[in-house]
Amino acid sequence: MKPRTVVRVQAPPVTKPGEVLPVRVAISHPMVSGQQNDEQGRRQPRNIITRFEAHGPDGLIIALDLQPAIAANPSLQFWVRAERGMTLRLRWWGDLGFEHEHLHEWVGA
Amino acid sequence: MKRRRALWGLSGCAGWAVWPHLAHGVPDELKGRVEAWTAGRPVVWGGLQLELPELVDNGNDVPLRVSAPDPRTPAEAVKRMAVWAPRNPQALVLEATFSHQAPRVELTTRIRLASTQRVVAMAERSDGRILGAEAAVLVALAACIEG
Repeated sequence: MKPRTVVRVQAPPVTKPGEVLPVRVAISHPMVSGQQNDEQGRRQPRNIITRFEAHGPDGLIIALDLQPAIAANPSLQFWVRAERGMTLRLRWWGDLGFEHEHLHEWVGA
Repeated sequence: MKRRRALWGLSGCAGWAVWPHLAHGVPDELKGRVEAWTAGRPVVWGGLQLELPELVDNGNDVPLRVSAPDPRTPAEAVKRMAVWAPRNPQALVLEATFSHQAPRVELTTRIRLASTQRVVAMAERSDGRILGAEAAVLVALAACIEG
C-alpha cells in the first residue's frame, strides 16, 4: 500500500502588500538514498524526490534539483513576495513516478 | 549505552584537536566538478554565506542554510546555486534556480553527511560572477551506514 503523502506549509500571515516573507514547506517522503540495506541485508533501490518547484501567480519563484543527500521528509525554507490571498503552487517529482502538488493560499493578518 | 555516548564524545574531541583549519578553497576531490559548474571562472570567496553546525551527533539530519546578500543591481542577483559534500557517496547535494520573482536568495534545508568534511556552496550571479562559501562539519555518527 502506498503511504499517503502529507505536506505541511508554514508561513506567517501577510501584514502589508508585497511583504517579503519566509515559507517553510515539508513533505513526507523516505528519501531512500540507494546506499542503505534493509533488515535482510538487501540493497534498497533509490527512491528520492528529485525536483521541487514553487510557483506564484506570475510564474516560477524557485526550483530545486535534489540528490540523495537531502534528509528524509525534505523540508525547505525560502522567501516569497507575498500578497493576501495569493496562491502558492508547490510541486514535487521523484523516483518511481512520484508526483505531488499542493496549493497554499496565503492568509492576511 | 552511556559509555558508548561518552566514547562518541571523546572521539569528537579528538577530531577537534586534529581538525585542519585550512584556508578557503575547493577540496581536491571536488575540483573537477566545481570547475565544470563554474565553467572555470574564478570564485569570489565570502560573497555567499553557508551556515552549518560545526559539530553534529547525527549525520542523517544536518541543518543547512545558504544565503546571499540582497542585490543592489539586477546584475548582482543570484540565479543559481549548488551545494556539494565531497565525502558523501555522491558529492552533489542540491542545485537551486532562483527566478527574478525570488525576493531573496536564501535556502534552508536538512541534509545527510557521510562523514566529517568541508561542505562547499557556489552561486552564479546574473553578471556571471561566481560566489563561493565553505563550512567544516564534524560528524560524530555518520549517515549512509548500513541499517
